[in-house]
Amino acid sequence: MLADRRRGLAKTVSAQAVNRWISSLNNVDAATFKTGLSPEGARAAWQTTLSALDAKSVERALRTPTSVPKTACFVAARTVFTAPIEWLAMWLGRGIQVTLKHPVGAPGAALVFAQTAREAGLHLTITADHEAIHGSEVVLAMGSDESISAIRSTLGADQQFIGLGHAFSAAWVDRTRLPADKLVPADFQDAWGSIAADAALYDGRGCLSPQVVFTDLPVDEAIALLSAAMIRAERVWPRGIVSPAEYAAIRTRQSYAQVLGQVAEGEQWQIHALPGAQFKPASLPRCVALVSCQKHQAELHLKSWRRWLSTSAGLFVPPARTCRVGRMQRPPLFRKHNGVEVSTGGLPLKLR
Amino acid sequence: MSRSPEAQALAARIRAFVTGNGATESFGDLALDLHRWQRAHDPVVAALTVGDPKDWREIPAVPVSLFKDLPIGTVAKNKANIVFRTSGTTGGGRGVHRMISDDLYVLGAFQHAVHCVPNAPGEVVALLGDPARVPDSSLAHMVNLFIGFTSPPGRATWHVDDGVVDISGLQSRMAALTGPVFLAATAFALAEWLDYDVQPLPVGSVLMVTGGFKGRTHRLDGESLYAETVRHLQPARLVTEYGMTELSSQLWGTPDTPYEPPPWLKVVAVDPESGRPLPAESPGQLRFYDLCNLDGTVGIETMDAGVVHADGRVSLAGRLEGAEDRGCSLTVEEAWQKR
Repeated sequence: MLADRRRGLAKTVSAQAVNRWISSLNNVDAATFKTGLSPEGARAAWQTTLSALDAKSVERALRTPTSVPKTACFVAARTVFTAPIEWLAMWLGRGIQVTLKHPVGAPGAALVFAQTAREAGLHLTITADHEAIHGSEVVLAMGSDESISAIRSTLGADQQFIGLGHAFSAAWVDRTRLPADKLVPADFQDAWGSIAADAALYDGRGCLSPQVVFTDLPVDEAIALLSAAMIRAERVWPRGIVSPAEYAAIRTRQSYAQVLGQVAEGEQWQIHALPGAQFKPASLPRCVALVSCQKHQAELHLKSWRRWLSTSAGLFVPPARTCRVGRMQRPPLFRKHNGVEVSTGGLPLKLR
Repeated sequence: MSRSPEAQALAARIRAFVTGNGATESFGDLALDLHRWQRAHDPVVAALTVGDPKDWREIPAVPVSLFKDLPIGTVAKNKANIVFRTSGTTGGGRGVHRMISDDLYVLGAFQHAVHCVPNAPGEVVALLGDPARVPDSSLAHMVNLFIGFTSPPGRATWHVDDGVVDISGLQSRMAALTGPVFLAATAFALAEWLDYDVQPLPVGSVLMVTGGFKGRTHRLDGESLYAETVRHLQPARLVTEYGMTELSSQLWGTPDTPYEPPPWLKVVAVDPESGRPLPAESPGQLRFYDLCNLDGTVGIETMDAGVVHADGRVSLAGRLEGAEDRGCSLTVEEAWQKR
């Protein structure tokens, strides 16, 4: 009984430390990081991530009993610079000594994470050294499927590995009027606006980003509505840097859509209308594939891709997460991310 | 299946251009005529064409990835006599190049090889799959032509099976050689072979290296591969070759000199963002315009980066920058491969 109370107290203290850390991060201007996003885009991504880590959610999550390893290592990918925050919060709050391994030559926000964590009384170190993964009891890595396999193969049998490889997300839009949602930016409450807002965050590179939108609206009407929304989103969150390879990949799918469907484009965005059977996921900055079909057909199309489907807004394709459009890139702390529970930091539950 | 009279007439003009026999027309005129004919017979090219190009640089260059998903070219699936396929090792399925005939391919490939590697031996040792077993390999098909470097022709032996170098067979063949050879290898196969105890090639031998590592890794790559090759194999000449399944013509160079295209193949570096041609000496995304691609398509856009020099030669700079920075989102190639 006493031990339980002590444990509860320790967790509360840690939750307070995490909340102090999140509070500090809220004061940071994410536009100062080299993210490749526009300043507006970087700030939006940063605030969106932090808003899911409100004090109540953090405290509740840290009350969930899990195994608590002494050490854990997070291997960050080059993009989606906010991805470590929720995992680090759940580990640090459990008193784990955490190492954040950032890409060589691209620390991103790692320095700020470490400094603010230290000030909050949390044990976070950062490194670019690949060897960091070998000294940790738990290793979580995000990246290409090849990177995940490579990391997995170097770990010992006694190390817990959480590998989050590639994934994509999809959405459904019809004529149903959506209820207002305080998490969705005010000017983007309508369905097409919500899609554009989701596609704008991280410039559409994240696995929660809608790579494809299915709709039962006629394709011309859907293109017109989504185009208008993409223009609005572009004004609020201008697109960031696009690599030469991404430009080339965009032109490839543009050509594909030119042959099989339709293309609509603005200065910094494109819509590729395709027949459903021809859709294939592709991570292309500010490019959305559009498929006009019935809802059951959309779910059928996605079935063959469900292994990689992270979020399906307005569609039911288990085990993908479902949510309202506009919330695709604003996930709650209590959820499974590609099959792994975030609120427990991916750690095994400890039965009392 | 044979070509239509219209296509035969175009083939004759291309043949004349390649051989120089009676050819008086320009590359641009022939490329535009070829494109117009292809546009009329290939719905993909027709869909990608904006207006009626007046300059050969305006001919749409089909992105190379589309060959994996769409039937590109003027030859229907059931009418092809020759089919080349990409290896598929870079993911995303296999690109297909269908032909009614390989006549222009053979003519162009052999003529430019002779021009770039004169007096090469016709005894061919290939670190490639046997074309009898992999008839859809355009590389093996090309290398098999090189037995004709000498008269009478030499013979070719093949030393890769299912992607693995047959080291013992290769070593036996090398030990039995009595004269110079033309040794053709992909960069990865060569690097694998150099892991073993290799002896210098016979005096006068030519070594051709082609291709990259296609996602695989080895301690040797780039400069170190060439240095080790020269040190251990001591070829009289070390040449580099650049080709693609989707093309019918190739470029040749050396580790120290840019790749030289034949007169019937033009290379253009474009701005990856706009797709607009860049001035000579500017680094960009490479497009190829190949007159010998009668059955395929004249213009092809690659994902390779490079510089096209004022004299038309090309320095390659690998894949376009940023291909590896894709965040946690799924890319087509990776998913398609694993589905």
